[in-house]
Amino acid sequence: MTKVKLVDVWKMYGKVPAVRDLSFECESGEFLCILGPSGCGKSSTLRMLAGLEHISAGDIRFDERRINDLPPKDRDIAMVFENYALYPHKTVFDNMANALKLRGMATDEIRGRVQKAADLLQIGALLDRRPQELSGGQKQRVAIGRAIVRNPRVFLFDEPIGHLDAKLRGHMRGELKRLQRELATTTIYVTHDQLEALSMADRIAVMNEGVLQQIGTPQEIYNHPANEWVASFVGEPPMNFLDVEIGTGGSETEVVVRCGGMQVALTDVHRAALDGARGGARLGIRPEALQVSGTADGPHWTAGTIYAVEPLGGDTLVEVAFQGGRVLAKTSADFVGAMDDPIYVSVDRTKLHLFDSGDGRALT
Amino acid sequence: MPARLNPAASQRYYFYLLAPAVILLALISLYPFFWLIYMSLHQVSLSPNQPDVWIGLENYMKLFGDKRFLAGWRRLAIYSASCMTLQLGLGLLLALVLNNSRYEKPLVTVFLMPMMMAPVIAGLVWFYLYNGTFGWYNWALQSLGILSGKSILGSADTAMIGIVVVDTWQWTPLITLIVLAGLKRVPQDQIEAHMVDGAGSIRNFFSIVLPNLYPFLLIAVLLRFMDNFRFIDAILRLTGGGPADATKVLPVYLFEVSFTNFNLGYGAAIAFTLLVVTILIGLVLVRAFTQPSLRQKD
Amino acid sequence: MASKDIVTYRTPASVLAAVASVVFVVVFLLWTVLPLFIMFVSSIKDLLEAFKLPAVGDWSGIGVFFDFTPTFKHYVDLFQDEKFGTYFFNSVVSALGSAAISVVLGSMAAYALSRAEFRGKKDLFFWVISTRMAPVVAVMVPLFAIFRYAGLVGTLPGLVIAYTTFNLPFAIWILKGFFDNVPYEIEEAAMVDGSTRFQAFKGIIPLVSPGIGAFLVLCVLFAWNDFLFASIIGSGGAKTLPVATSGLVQPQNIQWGKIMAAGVVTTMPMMLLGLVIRRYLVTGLTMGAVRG
Repeated sequence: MTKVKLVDVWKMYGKVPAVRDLSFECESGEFLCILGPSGCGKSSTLRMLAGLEHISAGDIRFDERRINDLPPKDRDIAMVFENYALYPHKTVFDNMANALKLRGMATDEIRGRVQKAADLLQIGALLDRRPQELSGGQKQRVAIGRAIVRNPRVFLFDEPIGHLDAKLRGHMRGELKRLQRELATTTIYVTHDQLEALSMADRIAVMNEGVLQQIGTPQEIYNHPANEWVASFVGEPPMNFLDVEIGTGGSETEVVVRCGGMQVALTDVHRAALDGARGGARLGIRPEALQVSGTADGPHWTAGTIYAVEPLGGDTLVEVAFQGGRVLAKTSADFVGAMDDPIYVSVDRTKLHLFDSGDGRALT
Repeated sequence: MPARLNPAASQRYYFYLLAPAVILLALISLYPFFWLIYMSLHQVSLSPNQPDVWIGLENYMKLFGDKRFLAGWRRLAIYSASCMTLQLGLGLLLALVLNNSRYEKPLVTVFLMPMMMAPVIAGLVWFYLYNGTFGWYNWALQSLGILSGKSILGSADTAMIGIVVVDTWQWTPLITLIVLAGLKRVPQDQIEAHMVDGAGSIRNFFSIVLPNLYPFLLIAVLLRFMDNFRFIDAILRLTGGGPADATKVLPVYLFEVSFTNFNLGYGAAIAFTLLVVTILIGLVLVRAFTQPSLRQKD
Repeated sequence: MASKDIVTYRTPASVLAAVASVVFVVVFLLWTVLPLFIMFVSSIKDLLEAFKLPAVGDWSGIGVFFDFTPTFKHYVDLFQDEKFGTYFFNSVVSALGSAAISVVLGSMAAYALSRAEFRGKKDLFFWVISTRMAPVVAVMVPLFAIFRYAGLVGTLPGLVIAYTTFNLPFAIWILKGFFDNVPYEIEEAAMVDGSTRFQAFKGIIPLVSPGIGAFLVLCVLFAWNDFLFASIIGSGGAKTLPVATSGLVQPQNIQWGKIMAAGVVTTMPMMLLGLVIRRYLVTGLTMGAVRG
């Protein structure tokens, strides 16, 4: 079980930096997800970890040992590729056994390991088939099998379930997490799907444009995003953003944010965090932290009209237009309302986020 | 499929499109083919006044006893095999080295040049270079101590080497071009998976790169075999088949029989055997060409 | 984003391999270029100077090769005395003429073979292709007889038709592959919009232009560089450059300067062709199997 550490890592393609000054640690046995949109540098980072790309600057250490100059075969890592990268001219068994054969393992032991992995992934019946005869899900499990027979120090996953259909993806998320727990191998998993990251990872490292935005547990990332970008990227449906003005409220100690017809008084915690900051800011509020109602029974309700209603079965999404803009609220499936009806919306003030208008960092 | 609109009209339409080409080809290739068979069964007279004499399969019988005929095939086999091995080896090596090199494009363009030359001219130039009196290559070989006394083309042992070298000089780049095209089609992530599995670059080459190259290599080999059977322009210029028949590969023998000795009937019989073998190779070629593995990766 | 190449790690072995590779390429480059270079240089050397050789073993004497005064008189001779202008013209006309006929007839036939379904289509296709593979030497005699009968021997049109023997099947082969890749739906859409079958066919010609490009290049190359057809069927009135060049070699008093110059004249246009359309070469030379 290995601890993986990146220290000030840069990756340049010619003059273009794909990864900038990246530093983080992945503890032994941890499932760390690197999350970000395409082009954010996550794949480059993974490939540098694998040894498939040269590291332009900085160090990567496995258990405090610098591995920059080691070729992939000497790093004792296993990788699951986005497009599976199975060997078409070999059977499933040979695909999985390949690495072990290359290392000179005894035939009996190879067979034992492959069988065990195949049983674990429920592909034991497919061992004599060839990749072209398999479905996407099967191929993906073979790719995973190829990685787990190795018993490596680190698992590297490069968007492995991206090409499966939605239902299978959902199923595999649970399976992969279980698998990782059982094997207890340090795992670094790259994805652009924030749902995958939130559901599977012990910790998530969020990247954008080559820069690490935030690293933390799924809870931390979701509830305390470090900046506006992270807040907008994580969470489905995405967070609502409004331009607001921070000012004083009715009494001396009250601090409020104002936006159009809406006014919300900040909690003590938020007030303390703001530490006297005033002026323009960005308010972030998640759909589930908004309430809608046909009647207003207090000053914390803002008037607006229904812009759109999307019933999802288990919940209903209501988009509300008001003087300050439009927000999306998530409410129960019993909601009744039609387009252009008048509606009231209220903000759960313990769950709001404030971000700096200029650089987007979190203020609360 | 395409004949959806109106089957009958479609068929007629396609027929008219095909007709001109087919008619022309029938005239200039099918007809000669039958004439060839006709000639091979006769003793063909050269003067218009004397008729051709039917001799049935006598020409073909003669073939089996004709030492020069059999030797011609043997030499052709040696020639083809030598060219093939040399060109494959060198061409593959060159492609591997050039692939992904910064200078690939300009270098390949330069390496193309020998192929652009007419084989007969290549023969001429190398004839000049090989010449015992004023040939630079001959001089170089003698200076290196490899050759002594006689010129390459003048001695029966080395003449075959001489013509193989010329063919190699001209056509190795073709192999390189084909292999380069194939190398670019090798899926990168398979190589990477193999690297992660624990393979070094030599292992990678034999296990991943080479299997992916097989269809391309096959095409290259068959094409060159075909061309070796057809192009005797250079050999005619270099040695004319000598010295002492050392380089008289079958097509050259055929040329001599038909166009020097004007023994047309017998020549036709030889030609027929050559044609049959060539078509057989062609069949294999066509099958290799129409394999899906090559096209689908586009 | 990933590096295009596979990353390599510096090991003593890899450094050695890199050095060896460079040496190999350089040697191969010299080996490839040398005959061409010698041909060029010899063509501008005066006759006697062309034969200057150092003594055997005297490597320092290589400079002797460059010890001459350049003269273009061989080229002048070619075009003045030897009528190379005519031969050049013959080569051009026969190559282009055959290319033109083959493209027109060939694209029609290739299209039909691509779209039509009928029994024996595969056999027809194979027969068409086999005509391309037949050794010229083998069919030369009957071919000559036919051409003589038709009075085409020694004429330029005769040569054009002779070249079509191998260019037409080649055109059909290559273009059929390209037509196969054009979905019939495009023509259907055109016909729905009002064009006739033939107009629709003409409409998709641009889509197979890489195939036509590849074919034209190779067609011209093979026709231009051909020797056997030209020497037998073109003999007399339709001499082309390769034949003429070869003809300069007399038993005694070989005029090497002139011959080298003739070689240059014959080869230069094709080398320029190669520079310009390198892209199509692989496709063409492998008869469409490999896309360059």
